[in-house]
Amino acid sequence: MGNRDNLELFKKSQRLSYDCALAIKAELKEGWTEKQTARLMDTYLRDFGVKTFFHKSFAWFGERSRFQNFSNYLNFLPSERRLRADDVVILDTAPILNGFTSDIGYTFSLTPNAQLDRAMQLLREFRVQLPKLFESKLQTDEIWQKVDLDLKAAGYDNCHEQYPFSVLAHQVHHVPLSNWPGLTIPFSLHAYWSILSRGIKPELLGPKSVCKKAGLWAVEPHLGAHGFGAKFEEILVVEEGGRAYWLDDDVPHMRSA
Amino acid sequence: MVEAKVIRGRATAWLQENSADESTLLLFLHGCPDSPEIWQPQLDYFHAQGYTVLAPYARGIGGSAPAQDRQRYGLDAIALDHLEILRSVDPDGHRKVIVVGHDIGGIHAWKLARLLGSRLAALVLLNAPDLSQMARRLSQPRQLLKSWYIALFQLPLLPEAWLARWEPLLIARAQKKTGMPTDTPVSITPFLNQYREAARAIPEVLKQNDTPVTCPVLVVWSKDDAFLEVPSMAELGRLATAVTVRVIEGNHWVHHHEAARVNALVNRFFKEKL
Repeated sequence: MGNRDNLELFKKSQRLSYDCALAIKAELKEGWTEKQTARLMDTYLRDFGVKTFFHKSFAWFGERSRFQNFSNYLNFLPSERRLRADDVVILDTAPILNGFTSDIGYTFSLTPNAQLDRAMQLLREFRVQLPKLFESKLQTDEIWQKVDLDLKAAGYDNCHEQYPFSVLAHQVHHVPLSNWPGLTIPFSLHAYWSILSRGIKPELLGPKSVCKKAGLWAVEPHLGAHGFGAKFEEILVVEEGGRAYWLDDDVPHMRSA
Repeated sequence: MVEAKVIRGRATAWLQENSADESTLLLFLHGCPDSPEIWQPQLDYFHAQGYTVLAPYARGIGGSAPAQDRQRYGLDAIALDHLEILRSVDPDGHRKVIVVGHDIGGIHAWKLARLLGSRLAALVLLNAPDLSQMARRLSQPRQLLKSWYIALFQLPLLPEAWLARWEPLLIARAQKKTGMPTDTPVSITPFLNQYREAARAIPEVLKQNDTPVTCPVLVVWSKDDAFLEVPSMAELGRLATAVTVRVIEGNHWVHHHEAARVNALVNRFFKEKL
């Protein structure tokens, strides 16, 4: 895990990602496609000096935000689906800024949506609980099970079951050679190397993986409701001594609470 | 009046004349090798008509700082710049917008039109194609003959070296042969990366299934354009649902040489359609 200076640089990367999501949200209009939206996010980030990505930007609109009918991993890629006025939108991006990876998720709707407000309230409660779960004696697989149970108890589906390796969180690290542009389809060679070089299991928090808790985790609780999904994603710092805290509390899904 | 702000780390400038607070924003996008001063007759005329008029400097021109990163000259980056300029004038994004483009500025105008949604009141193209339209035309020998320079611009470094030595001579020749203005600043070099990035976007643009623009669209084309063939209704029909086409006498810079005529034509279109 990084020292205090490094944590500031991870935070800088995460703030840039959220600035990007908010800037694109401000311009987003009915009729934009997921592809168009994701491409503008990548452009925004590149203009701020991002040379490569852990993964390129994703945008999911409406029913796709809960990964409805996703039968293979290609379905996760931004599609030609156009934004409708009352759609829920998830923007998810993971730039590597000067070697420091961030991975964020941000959910919103352009029109008032009481169902989404309720879902986001639950996610905010999860945000309070998650550091405590990491500080507790629970193993990482038990954290996954607990989040799964709590989501289902609240009447939602657990969208993590459709994620690669069913991950609820994955570790992020400083990435060397991040100024070397790599093939990114949609995860970069840097991302594959980052995960594979450390073994896959310690890097991914899934339903059956017992891994060391200390590190920087991009945690992304993602619930599925009727016709839409909602998530946030941000970096949780878990120290060797067991203390866990969010890298940055000034994040948009908390500001709008 | 020149306005400027730093947009995503780069100084970006534009000409702006304000009208009433809720007036429609009229955004003029210049082509190569021009600067926004080329629009001065239109800025004066439409400002007097009650519009708030804006004319950005393309990246590398005037107060819009050049960028090392070539992607900053790409269609998406330039569209984000234009959206940010509009936002600085209209922070809530409630005011209607009309986009006017000439030459490669027309490619950016089409791009922006597809991002503005219901804010877009109208789109005006003056001797300016959409990128998909231009890409499809490159299979036409007459257009290819007129666009040879675009292929040359795709080479790395050589065009910069060539222009560093020969640009004044080339511009003098173009001014004589094509009607390129002699009384506004012109330079080709800052546009090379725009042409390169536009060419790089062609495969993606041809794959995209853009829905036609639904607002009123006016296409003004002059007969003696040395760089572009007159468009057909078939190609414009793919791009917009309500297109008015006017083919008039003049050269590529018809808004400069025939300013009064073009202004009246565009204003009549606004009065009829908006």
